[in-house]
Amino acid sequence: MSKDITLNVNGIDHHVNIQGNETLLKVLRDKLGLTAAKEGCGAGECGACAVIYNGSPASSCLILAVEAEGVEILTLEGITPKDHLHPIQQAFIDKGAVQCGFCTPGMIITTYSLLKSNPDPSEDEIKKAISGNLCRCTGYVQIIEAIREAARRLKRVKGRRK
Amino acid sequence: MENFEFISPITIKGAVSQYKKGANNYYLAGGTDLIVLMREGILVPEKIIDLKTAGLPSGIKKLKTEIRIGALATLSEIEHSSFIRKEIPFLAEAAGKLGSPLTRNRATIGGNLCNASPAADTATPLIAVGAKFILSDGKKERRVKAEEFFKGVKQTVLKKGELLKEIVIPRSAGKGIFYKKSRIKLVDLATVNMTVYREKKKYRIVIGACHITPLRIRAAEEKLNKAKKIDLALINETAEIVVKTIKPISDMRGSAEYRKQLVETHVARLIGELAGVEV
Repeated sequence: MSKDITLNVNGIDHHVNIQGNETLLKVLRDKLGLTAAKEGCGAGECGACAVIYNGSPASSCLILAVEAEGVEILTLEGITPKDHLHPIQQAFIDKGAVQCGFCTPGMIITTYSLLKSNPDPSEDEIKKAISGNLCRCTGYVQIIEAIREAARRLKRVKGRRK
Repeated sequence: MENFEFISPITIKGAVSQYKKGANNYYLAGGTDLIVLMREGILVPEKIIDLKTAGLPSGIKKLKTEIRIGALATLSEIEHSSFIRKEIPFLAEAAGKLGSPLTRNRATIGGNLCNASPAADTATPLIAVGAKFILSDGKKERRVKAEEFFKGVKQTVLKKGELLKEIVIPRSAGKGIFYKKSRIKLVDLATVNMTVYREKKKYRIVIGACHITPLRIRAAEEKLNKAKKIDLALINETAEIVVKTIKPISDMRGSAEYRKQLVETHVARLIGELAGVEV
């Protein structure tokens, strides 16, 4: 089955022709050129393919592109400002939370969603939030530190805006 | 993943009639299990029928005497619902221990139940609380008790094309506790799971991942319900009945012997907590 659909990604409507058996992840990467989300396990275990789907983070490797028509999708590209990094991205760099980088986009998507609903998470809340995002390099300590640092910086940004 | 025909029915009737048109058609809800099996080539469906457009009730409704949960409610919705957390906290806890947040944001309670894994995390709390499931074949509806829904590993009472529409939970003052043991603290499937529930002086004990279906242990419940006084000795005898009734298997998540020990220890602990007896 092949179908023309409209995908709303990062606030832009994209008209694409897709096959029924193509995952949202594959269409994002191969047809829209949005390569931040990665295919790790392909079975919803690793979180490397996380995107914000209808307001919550989800594994785009387990969503069919054809189901995603009419849903608001946000990828890491949509979170990243044009001329600088997002405070979460900068905190990951500053705290050494990136080694090979494969899990990082998914980690940042999950962090973005966590800090939106809970601007000051405890360590346990952070661990629970990233429990579906596997990292095989850092041992998570730096990632948790980066998330706490990002929370502090985002609060400061918010404070300045007030 | 092989290609297939994707169908977005707009009514339950339409969904059922599409489903019945072939021998190899599948309903899609959250997709967190189905799409994995399709990607691995274990399932090669002809048609995928998306239930999310079919007008099934969604969300959680609070009525005077019952709570209704739409089959398409996600596990995250149930986990975070302040109302479920207040009235059926053990169901919220079970939902919140299934998979990862990424999975729970997509996976539905209907999918978890219709998949009929003996380890389904939402099964033991629903059986313990006396939930009923509303099944629909597009024309007629019928109600079955949660404990009668499961027939075997991946088998339910659902007839061809029939689907789970809504879950009905009686509102009561009972108290329940859910327990799940898995190899790692988060994300993993259950080695064993269980719910013990108490309403007035009546107990219900439901054990998961230790039989071909989640299993209510009536003989053990009787033991507690008939007792004039519940003390440590009686709790230990009850736990023994539970262990004698279950038939766990040995697999990658634990040996049968280990499962029996887990069940014996934790079912006693849960009963003790509800009865106010130190175990």
